[in-house]
Amino acid sequence: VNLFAIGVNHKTAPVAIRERLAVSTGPEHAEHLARLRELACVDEVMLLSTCNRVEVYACGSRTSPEILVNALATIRGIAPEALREHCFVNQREDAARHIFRVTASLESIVVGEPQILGQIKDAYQSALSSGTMGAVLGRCLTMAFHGAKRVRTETEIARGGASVPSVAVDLAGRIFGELRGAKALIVGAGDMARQTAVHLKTAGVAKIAVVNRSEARGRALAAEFEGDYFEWGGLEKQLVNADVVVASTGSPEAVIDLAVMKRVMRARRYAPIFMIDIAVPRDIEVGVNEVDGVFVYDVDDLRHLVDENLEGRKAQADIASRVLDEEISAFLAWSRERALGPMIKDLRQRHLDVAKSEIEKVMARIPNLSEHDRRLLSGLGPAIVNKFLHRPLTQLRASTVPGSGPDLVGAVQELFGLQQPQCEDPVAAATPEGNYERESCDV
Amino acid sequence: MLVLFVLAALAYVGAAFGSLLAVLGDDAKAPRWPLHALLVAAIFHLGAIGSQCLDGAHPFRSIQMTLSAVAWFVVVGYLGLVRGRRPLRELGAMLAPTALVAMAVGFVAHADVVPNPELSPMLVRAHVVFASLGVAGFVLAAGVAAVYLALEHRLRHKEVPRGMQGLSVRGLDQLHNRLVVAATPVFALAMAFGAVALTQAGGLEMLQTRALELVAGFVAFSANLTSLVGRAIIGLRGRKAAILTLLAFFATLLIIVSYGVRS
Repeated sequence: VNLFAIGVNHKTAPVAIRERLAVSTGPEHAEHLARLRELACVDEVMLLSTCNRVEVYACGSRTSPEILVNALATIRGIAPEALREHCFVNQREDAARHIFRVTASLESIVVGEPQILGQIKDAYQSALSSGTMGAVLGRCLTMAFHGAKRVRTETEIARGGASVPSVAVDLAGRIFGELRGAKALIVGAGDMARQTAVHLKTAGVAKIAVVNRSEARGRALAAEFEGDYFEWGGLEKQLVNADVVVASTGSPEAVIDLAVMKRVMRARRYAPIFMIDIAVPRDIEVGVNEVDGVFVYDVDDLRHLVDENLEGRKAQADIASRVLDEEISAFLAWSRERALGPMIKDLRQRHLDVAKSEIEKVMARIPNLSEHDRRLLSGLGPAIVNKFLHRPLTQLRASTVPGSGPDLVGAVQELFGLQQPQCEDPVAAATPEGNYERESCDV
Repeated sequence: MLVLFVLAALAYVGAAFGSLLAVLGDDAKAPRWPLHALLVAAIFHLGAIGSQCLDGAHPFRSIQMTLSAVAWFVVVGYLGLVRGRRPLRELGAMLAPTALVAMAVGFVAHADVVPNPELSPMLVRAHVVFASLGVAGFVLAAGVAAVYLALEHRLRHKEVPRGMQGLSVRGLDQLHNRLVVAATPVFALAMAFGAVALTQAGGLEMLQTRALELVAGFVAFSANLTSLVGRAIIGLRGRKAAILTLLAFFATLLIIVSYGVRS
């Protein structure tokens, strides 16, 4: 299949190059797709632009990797030579594999992160609405989406947060089940506390309260999350009402000690509370974690969990690759069969023509044939041809699977004087050098 | 008399269920029917005491019978207290199963005043049914409590178990508590029916041969009642409640093993 995947990503190019190539969504994106199709002489094209990658997926028999790279450089106003230094190129099976792996988040910086799937779906929709999505690329993408879904459900690649705030939200889920309706208390107004609050809010926390020594900063943070600000003196009362506490003050000593938490827990009737201490030095006294119903995690605990999760995801990547291989094989089988289609049609038509001609000759020699007899004799040709070609065509389709035996396609072409399948070799012929074959090769 | 006892026991169990559910539901406007059930139970309880009295067993003849009579007075006092006031649901939740056990103790204290031996097989069957339900509830509650303790221990030691997706400490705590709420009154009823059936079958001597089961049953009942009442009054939950549930489970296990060895 004449499939190409070219572009730059976090493995091949620095951010300075990636940001020059980045394309925003909207009219600019659609315009770029139209220009890419025209400049690169491709039938189908899709442009994926995220903060970590700018990639072009295309299909066409009249193009080449060099043309594609030049086209991308041209539409982004970059010298092609500058782009070639950092551009990767994948073709045919490697291109399909790359698309599947990117969609399944196996090529992301944080393996298993969910955002890339949404971004690719957006790019797919954009290509669809711009009219640059066709049968081959469309099939490849829809099968890649299916593969990504399988990877997420059949492996544990997406389990566990991959950042401190997401781990904190995950832990809160383990303690409370769900965060919908929960109340969060932010003690201090540091940046990490703000980031964690963003995650908590996204996870469904109903109300956020802020307690801070500096009223102005506290009120600003509370306003950002449509929460309430409380003075420092009201900390203990707010601890009684909160489910999740994020502490990030700059205090040199603990601001929540054991005695306070014992009083708080009595007042809470020992309802569980999750406390995230991201301050250094710590804001919550060490012994507080031993109080029944209190779960305290400091920044080291959270980072340790992040590391464990990332290791776990890497370990799951091999299993995910195996799952993905099945989907890639299915796509390649579909594309091979599709490529054989015109040849099979031609072969069948030739046989049908011969059969029809011979039957007509016979019918001409038999006098007084009824209409019924004519219909019977006419139907004989397609029936014989179908039976005759069934096994050869089955074998022909099977022979296109790599490693399944001798290539029968060439033999059939030679034997019956047929044309080559449409989507096979032109790309290889168009490739001037062998240096486009592998990912990350310099162009 | 036995019929009055059975009716009183069933009404006490109903009142216990209602009160416990009202306490745990945190609903400001609790239903009144648990109080009505408690009133019905008190009436049948009085009937049972009166019937014993007519058979020659004075309510204050022994400590056990006094216990039953005192329980009745406390129930009536409670009903008088809550009339037109805050329902004191926590107290009601504790009182109903406790009065049931006290009534059973008073009832079996004098084998000579436990007539109707023809009802004995029915009581035994009821005992077996309620005991099975109660034990099943305790086993489930103990299982959930054990999972709770495991999850809580791991979270406290900064581990996030990969194989426990969808479980939360709060959810497990609530589930185990609800199972205890369901099992405790049923188990109390089974204990009461079992004790009466034993007394009918072989008098107090027979009851004494089952001392281990009785003590274990009382421990299981007390542990669960402490857990429930503790939660209602001081908010006892989490690790301590789970440990109490496990204690009740092991006491129940002892009863089952004892029955197994005897049979």
